Amino acid sequence: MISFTLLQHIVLVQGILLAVSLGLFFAHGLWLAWYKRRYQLLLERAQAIIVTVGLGGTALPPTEYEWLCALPVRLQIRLFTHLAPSLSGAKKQQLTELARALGLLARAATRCRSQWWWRRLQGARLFTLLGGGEHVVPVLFLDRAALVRAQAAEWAVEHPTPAVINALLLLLGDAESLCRFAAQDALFRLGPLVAEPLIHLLGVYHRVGHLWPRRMTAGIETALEVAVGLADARFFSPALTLCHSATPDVRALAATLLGALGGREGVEVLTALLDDDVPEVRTAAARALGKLRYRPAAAALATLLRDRAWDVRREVGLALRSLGPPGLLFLHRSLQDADRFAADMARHVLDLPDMAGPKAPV
Amino acid sequence: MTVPWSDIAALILVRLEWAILMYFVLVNSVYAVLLLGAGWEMLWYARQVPGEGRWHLLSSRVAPRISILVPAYNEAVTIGESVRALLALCYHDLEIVVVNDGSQDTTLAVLQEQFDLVPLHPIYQRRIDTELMRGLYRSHSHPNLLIIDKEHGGKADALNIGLQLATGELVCVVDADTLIETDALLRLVRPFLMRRSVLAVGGIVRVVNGAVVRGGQVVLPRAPRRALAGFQVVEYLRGFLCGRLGWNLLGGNLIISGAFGLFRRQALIAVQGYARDTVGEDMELVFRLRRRGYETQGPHQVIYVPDSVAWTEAPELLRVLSRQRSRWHCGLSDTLWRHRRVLLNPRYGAMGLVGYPYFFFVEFLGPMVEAMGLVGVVAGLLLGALDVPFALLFFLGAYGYDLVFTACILLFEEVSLHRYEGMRDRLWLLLWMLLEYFGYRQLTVLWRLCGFCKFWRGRTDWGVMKRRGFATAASTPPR
Repeated sequence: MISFTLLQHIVLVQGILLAVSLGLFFAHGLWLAWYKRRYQLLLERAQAIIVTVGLGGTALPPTEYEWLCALPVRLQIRLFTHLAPSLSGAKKQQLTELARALGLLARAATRCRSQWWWRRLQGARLFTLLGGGEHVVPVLFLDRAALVRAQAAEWAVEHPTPAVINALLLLLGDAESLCRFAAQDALFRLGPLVAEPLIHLLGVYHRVGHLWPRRMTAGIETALEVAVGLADARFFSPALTLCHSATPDVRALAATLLGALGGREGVEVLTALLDDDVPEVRTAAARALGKLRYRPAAAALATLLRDRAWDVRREVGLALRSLGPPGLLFLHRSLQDADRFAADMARHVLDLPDMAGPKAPV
Repeated sequence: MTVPWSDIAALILVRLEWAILMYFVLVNSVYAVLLLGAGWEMLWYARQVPGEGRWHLLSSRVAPRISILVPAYNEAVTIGESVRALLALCYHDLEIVVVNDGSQDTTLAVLQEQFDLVPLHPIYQRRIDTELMRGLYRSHSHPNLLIIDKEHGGKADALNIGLQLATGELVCVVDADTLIETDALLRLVRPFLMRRSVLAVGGIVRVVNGAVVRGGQVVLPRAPRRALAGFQVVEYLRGFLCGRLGWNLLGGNLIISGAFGLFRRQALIAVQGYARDTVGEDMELVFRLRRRGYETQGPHQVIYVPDSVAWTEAPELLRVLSRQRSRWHCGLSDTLWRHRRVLLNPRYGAMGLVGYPYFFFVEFLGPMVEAMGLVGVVAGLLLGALDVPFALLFFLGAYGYDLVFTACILLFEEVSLHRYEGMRDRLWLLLWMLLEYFGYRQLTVLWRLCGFCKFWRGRTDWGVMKRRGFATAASTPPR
């Protein structure tokens, strides 16, 4: 049995632990209250100085400048990161210069070179918010930590050099989904600037893609999603070629891209894709033809109303509806179809209310 | 020679107390590990988050669409305010799907009146069996608001039909009376962006009683002044900040609160949505999701995010609270029984080897062992088989351990999340922490035992949750 003395010791230790943890609990509360009182006024004053004088186009008076320099670094960072997202253009540039003068950018550069990932992350975040970092941040595209690589991608939006865009394209095939997400997001924000490098990447994939590992193929799918979003006419040629890719997901995305671009050659390829073996590709092709309102495809689409895959039938039905009178004619005919799946879908689509505005179907 | 019966009873009692002592040591060791795990997770999280451009997500074209599913049954009084609060959440691609589960009051009429509903004809693939849908509407004033009107079939049924009509890649399940903080979704979606292996993410559910609520948002969190709600605040903090966060590291998270959770919609549909024949449908769902993940070698991670917050009203009537706790334990028992094959099965990884055993030995058996211990102590004292000073000291030790544990959680809350700002609130929390052990804990043991009995008898009714409403729960702001 446990001895009485041992139990007494245990209770004593518990008492000490309890006292310490509760002491810390209340002490932290008191400290926070003091901290807020102490620094809130400083922060407000510093903000007023920066906004009224620092960003007003004139140089800061030496006294004000020295006062800002004397602020604790943590407070300086808090102040600048609070102000930066609300500014753009010349004002943002002035804020960046002020941060540089106060030594914040030098600190960010030091943090970017730290051996600890969270410090590198902080450094990259500071550069993202305040600007600068052209000589430090690009290295972080190859960082060990996914969070740091993703932050570098976010930074890239304001620094779209060819090298940075290429680094972003490489991140599309990153093993971590966060990096792929960040790269894709950055590419969208960069817009038409990335069209040429993207076309080049898609072209390379078409030529030697079969030699690429699966991870890189996933990167191409992500790249195609960006291309679909940008819908630049220059993507037409790669989209046409990628419709013949061996990877079904790539074919489906290429079909969607063609749907966004149109063109005579495009609709021919899309019509051919209606016979693809993979339902996702047929779905994408039907959706694309509907979007392009390509009426000559009505007969081919109507045949697909008998498809075994529900998603294909749904997209075909909606595509026929969007074709107008020829499509509606085929839908009405399908009501008498021997295949009850086709008749049922035709009925569903014909029963839909007007698709304009908020009354769009689910 | 005959041994007196009192000696035999005393011997049995001593052996029993020994077994209970061993159990007590084991359980507390597990709690200590969870506490360390939660501390590590919190530290890790604190390093990732500062300076994060969360608002960046608001303008992203790549961020996944989220559909919020809100099952509503006889919620005419609160539904308008709840929906407006949801529409005000910060997330750019958001769809709100309210499912009117055959309400007998004017829920649908209120929605119709306040949101200008337009009837729709849906095309959707019926992949989960549900009660009949009576109508589908979209709001003319808020095109991202979809209303489903259906025959009454219970919460699980309502969620299942919502799942099939929602269009988001992710679905967020909330109760109609849950208040979600405006940036909660931005925080909750993060793990999905970080890892493909994440199936579901849970946020922290906090007790709103005592807090100041305005416009469907908690503007000033405050510790409740009523004992029952106060005890629940301490309980919720312990459960979420230690229990669930600690499991992040060990991979054994098996519950996403029904009041606030985010899931991959396709994964939910693949497991046929919520089970309709259980009262613990939220836990049962996570079990099925994770099992399928392991069986198909697909995503199986369930993560908790410490700073994504939803506020819920805790019951302040003993009768209502007892029904809630009894139902929770009944649901737990039912879920563990349904998935008994997972126990210590290496095929299910951390879920089978760590998570399930914890829920079985600690959460399920806990009330029974605790009740046996209490009965044993009383019997031992009556029979003179227990040394009274020793028993008292032992009780003090057990109480002390719990206090240290809870104090660490409060410290956690204070240092990392810091929701309660006033010194007075801290003192109230301290008071509820100290008093919780006297009466309240024993009552929860009793209610949980009732829950087990219900499960044993095969009863799965929900009971009625009478709420005070946020307007009355909220106190006036301090001057």
